[in-house]
Amino acid sequence: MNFLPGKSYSERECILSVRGISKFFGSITALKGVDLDVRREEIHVLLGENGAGKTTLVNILYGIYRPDSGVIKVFGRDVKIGSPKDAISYGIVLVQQHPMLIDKMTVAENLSIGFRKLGYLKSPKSIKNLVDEYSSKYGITVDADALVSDLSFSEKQEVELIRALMLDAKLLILDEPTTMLTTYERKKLFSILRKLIEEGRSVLLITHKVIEALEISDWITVLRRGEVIASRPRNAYMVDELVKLVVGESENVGQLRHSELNTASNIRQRPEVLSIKELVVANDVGGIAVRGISLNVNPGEVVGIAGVSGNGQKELSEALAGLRRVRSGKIFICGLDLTNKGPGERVKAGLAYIPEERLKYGIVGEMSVAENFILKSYNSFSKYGFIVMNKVLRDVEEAIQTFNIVTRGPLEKVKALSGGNIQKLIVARELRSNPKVVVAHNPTLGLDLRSAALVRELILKVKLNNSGVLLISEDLDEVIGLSDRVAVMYRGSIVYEADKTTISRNTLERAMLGLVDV
Amino acid sequence: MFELKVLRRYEVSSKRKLAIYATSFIVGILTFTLLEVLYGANPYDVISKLFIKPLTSYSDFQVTVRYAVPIGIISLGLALTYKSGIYSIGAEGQMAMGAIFAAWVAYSLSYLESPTSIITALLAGSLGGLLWGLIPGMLKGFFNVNEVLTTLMFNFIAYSLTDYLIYGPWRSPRAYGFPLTEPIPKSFTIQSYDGIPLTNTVILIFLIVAMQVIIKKSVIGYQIRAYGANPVAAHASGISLLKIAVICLTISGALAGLAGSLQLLSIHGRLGPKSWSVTEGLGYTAIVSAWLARLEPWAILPSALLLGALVNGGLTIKAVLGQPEGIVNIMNGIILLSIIAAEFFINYKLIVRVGR
Repeated sequence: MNFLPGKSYSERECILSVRGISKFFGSITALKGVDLDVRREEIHVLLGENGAGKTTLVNILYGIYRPDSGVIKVFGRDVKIGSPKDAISYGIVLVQQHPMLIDKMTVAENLSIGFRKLGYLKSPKSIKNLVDEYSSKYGITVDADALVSDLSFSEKQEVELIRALMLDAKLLILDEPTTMLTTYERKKLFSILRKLIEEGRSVLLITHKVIEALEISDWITVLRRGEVIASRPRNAYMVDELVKLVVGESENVGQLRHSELNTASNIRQRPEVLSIKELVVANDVGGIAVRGISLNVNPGEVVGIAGVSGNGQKELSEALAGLRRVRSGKIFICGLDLTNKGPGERVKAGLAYIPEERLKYGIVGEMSVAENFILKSYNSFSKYGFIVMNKVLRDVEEAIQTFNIVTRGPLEKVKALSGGNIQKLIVARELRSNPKVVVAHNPTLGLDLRSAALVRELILKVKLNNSGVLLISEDLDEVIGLSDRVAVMYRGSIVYEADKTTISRNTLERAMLGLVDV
Repeated sequence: MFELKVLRRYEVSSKRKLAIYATSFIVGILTFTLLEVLYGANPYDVISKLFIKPLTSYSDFQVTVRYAVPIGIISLGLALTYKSGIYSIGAEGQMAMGAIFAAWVAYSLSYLESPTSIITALLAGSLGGLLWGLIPGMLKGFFNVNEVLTTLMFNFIAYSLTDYLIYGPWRSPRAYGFPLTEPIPKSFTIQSYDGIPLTNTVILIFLIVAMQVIIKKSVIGYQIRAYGANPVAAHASGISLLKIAVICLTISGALAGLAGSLQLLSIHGRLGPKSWSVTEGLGYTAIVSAWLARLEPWAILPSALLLGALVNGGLTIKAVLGQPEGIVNIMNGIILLSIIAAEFFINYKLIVRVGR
């Protein structure tokens, strides 16, 4: 957008130049002859679907993987990046997707750790001055004295940005930085990035969101199945064309393909599959996060809960899954009181749970795809106390096909899969046992277009089985698109409820900000 | 200018892992040898007595097997427990309880004929160990009490109970004043063949196969592995800590109890005080053996044999070279530390830079 016409791109200095990078994992080709040029003062977006090889490329640039062939030049000099420390010494800094900070320390204390270059421990006071300086310069608003555990996700991300600046990053790499951000937070991040490049730095931003790429970039490189499909200035792309380049087929997956499913309405009133009465739940530090919520989900109904992240959605979903104790109130699944019962009993009662924190709650990374697939239904695959592996493998192969999960096979460790494919695996697992009620928390967070569309379609299909869905999502379009009824959560309470026929986006947005008297 | 850099390794081949393990193990042995040299021993002598003779000379090998079998049986239970992320160090006490229960059966049901007698005593011994694991298991499952502390403390209770019995009600009047119990009746003795406890060895091999199948193929083994690898996700899918803790600690307790009763019936024949005890510290050695085998049941066969040889060699060194009492424990500790260090070198690499 801020494409500077005054100076032609070819004249600009290349900070990073990659030629012919290939990487193979066994017989799988992750990257094939990838070329990439990041110029000075450029926001360069690397765009591609899950499994396109974006993260592999980042890992190579950051010294975590060695490329099997190809060369990397930094400021025109041939370099070998053998470790993150090497990368940092060349001015390449990765801003972690999941900030790695110590919760019980303040921002300044976190930032004072481990900077050999600045003297081993820089004093928190001088750090505070530095943070203040960055705040006025780039519009970063994080408080140096705040405890990290009190920060929101986007604030933690800002701390990581400050850390990168302290390391004197010439090239900042951000891997899917917006997945956990609200619209407002995303705009703020982008404006910070703009200011950073104005003073001579460059940014390589990895994303699967086409809209986002168009919003922020100067240059877009499209990666598909490990190959560079296109690499041009942002203005040289047409929107429709870009979508096609990313997805690779003419099929229009951007549209919600499930319009007929969505309109199909066979909601029955009773008995409710999920009934929540006056639920009160505390957060980790003992404060009240959910303040007396009452809500019913009927068979064949999708109830959406919209809201800005951090308004009690996490605590609500964990209480429903049996991972967090309830202070007061009741939870019924198909009429059964399961208020303070364990997760096992809820699974038996017909609850499926698609958690927000997939790696923590959803999968066992060290185990295989097949073993993770049966995590909730291993008993139905067992005979005389032993797991019948043939049966498991047959079902897993089928799920891999149906859900289009990109993996080297059922025996690959799940931690080797990309985020989107892990989510597809979790959804496949949760829905295979025909649950009565599905609690889904940000189910399409971080997924590419195709995967997100698939997950949404599957959620809608749940309705056909006379089961219900509670969809807790920060993606307002998703909530509006899928739900029969929408409730808005603000500061632990439901402040607004609307039927599908009466939903207005504007009203919902106002309610999300706490402007309830709509 | 001297600089030490620690870098994370991301892709480690299994060949390299094996090489790192072998190297660390050898470094451990060499460290121990160095310690012995400081005591004035000849290094060649130490290595030969510690390592080579116990595995090559037949008469020494017989003794090695006597140690290796109980180490192996106990390691199997510990491997299962460690896979679930529960760290029991209570095998020593469970083994002692197994010996007490087996001895109790032998004294009170002395009229039983072989093999009924032996089977009953072994079952009782397993039950004793099982109960000694059950209590820490329930404490862990219900109240999340740290199992390292409880299992360790239960070892001391078992030692004290043994002491009470051998100085008190079970003390033999015919042991020349030594605190020993009566020898167990003949019908309860497990015969050795040519100095090798063959029955015990067969039991060990059977248990290795069984444990391999349980861990890899059974539902409970699956639950245990899942719990160990990600307790939060396992909990979310309905696998309860109570079930895992109780099952792991009772199985490992029962196996340790079985090992204790086998040692009583085939080797020792009576209960005695610390220096003549049935357990001989093997419940601790088995911890090293389980980790050396990387918690893989099949690998426990060679690792138990190796540790059996080292215990045998260590005792020889203690006797022949006149070393202090704790020398075998010191050796165990050094080797365990080396194995833990191997884990570090698998995940990280060290780069030393000298000069600028």
